[in-house]
Amino acid sequence: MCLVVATALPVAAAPKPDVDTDVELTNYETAAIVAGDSAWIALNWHGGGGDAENFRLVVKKPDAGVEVRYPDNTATYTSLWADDTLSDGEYDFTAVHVTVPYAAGQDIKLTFTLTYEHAGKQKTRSVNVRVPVVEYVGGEDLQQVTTSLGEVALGESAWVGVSYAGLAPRLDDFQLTITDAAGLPIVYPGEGSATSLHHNARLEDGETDVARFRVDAYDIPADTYTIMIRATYRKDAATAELLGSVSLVVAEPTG
Amino acid sequence: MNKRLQLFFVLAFVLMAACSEADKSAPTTNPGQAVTTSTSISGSQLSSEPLPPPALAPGLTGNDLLAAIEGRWMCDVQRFAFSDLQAMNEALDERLKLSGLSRKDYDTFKRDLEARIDLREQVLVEYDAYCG
Repeated sequence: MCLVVATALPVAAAPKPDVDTDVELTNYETAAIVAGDSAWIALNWHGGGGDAENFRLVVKKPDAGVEVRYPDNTATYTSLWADDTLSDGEYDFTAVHVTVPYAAGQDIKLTFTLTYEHAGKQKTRSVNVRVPVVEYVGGEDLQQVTTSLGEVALGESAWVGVSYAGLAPRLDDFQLTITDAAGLPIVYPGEGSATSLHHNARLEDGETDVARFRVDAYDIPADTYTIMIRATYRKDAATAELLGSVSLVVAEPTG
Repeated sequence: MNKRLQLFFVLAFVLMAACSEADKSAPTTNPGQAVTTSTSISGSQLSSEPLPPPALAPGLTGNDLLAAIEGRWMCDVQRFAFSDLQAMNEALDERLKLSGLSRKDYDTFKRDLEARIDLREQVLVEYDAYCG
């Protein structure tokens, strides 16, 4: 049985996009980490206007039990992977090492302070990042990370996503199907009969990827729905499945 | 060996390596590739076509291939948790090796990136196409 301790916030409630055009953080949600484990995760940045030099990222006081450390060569902060300058239009990432306590019962929110020099001026910003946490259960191949799909306004369509974290070395031919949509009209990408992961149909150990489908919230009552889902995959020659559910709120449009 | 012939073999090798990388990373059954969470649905969002393999266009250069690798690497790295930084480096080295490239090639490319906006734009195009 799958024990999902992650309480991933709904898609609709994800942190707001970074609006600063000098430097843009592209992933406000990182790869998932197993409770009690530690791992290096990447925060990816995109330069948007001139060079951002002396690029430094430091975590603000994390929650109790959560530890964050940086690469040895910088020690007290982390900088970009290639160097300490994010050029206009360049992608680069900062790596941070995060230790999650066993008792972590929900996703971790980390607040970072970013400093850099842009056009001769020192800039300081604060960014919030969510680290999904999954619970290790021996023998599991993968875990469902997302438990809530958030909110869709009545009368609208929305693409929603269920994230999965890989625990086994390699799972192939991943497919997600809705086994009970609770009366919600569901459409798969390409009008197909199933959806797969966003990047490819393979889920690897330590990887987090998302499977998306569309909800057409027409002609249904405003309510909270529980959607039953089935993830199927191939592990070596054997096929396996993981059953789960996600909740979705269909709300009356506001305003 | 004739220099033009040598160049031909080098380019052929790079192309074969690119095919190898493409075969490994190109999605096979990935209907979610072009889908976004946007609430406005368009035809392109419903596309189930996999992305074309990187760097197979005529006139391929080493930088074209590296730009394709870089765009995908920058997208993929944020989806993985790594046990240590060495594992992160090895993940990139493996990709480079599959394309017949070395870390030295990559480091040179990264230095070129700082100086050339056109290369950064190439990476951006690949990142956007691959990352969705």
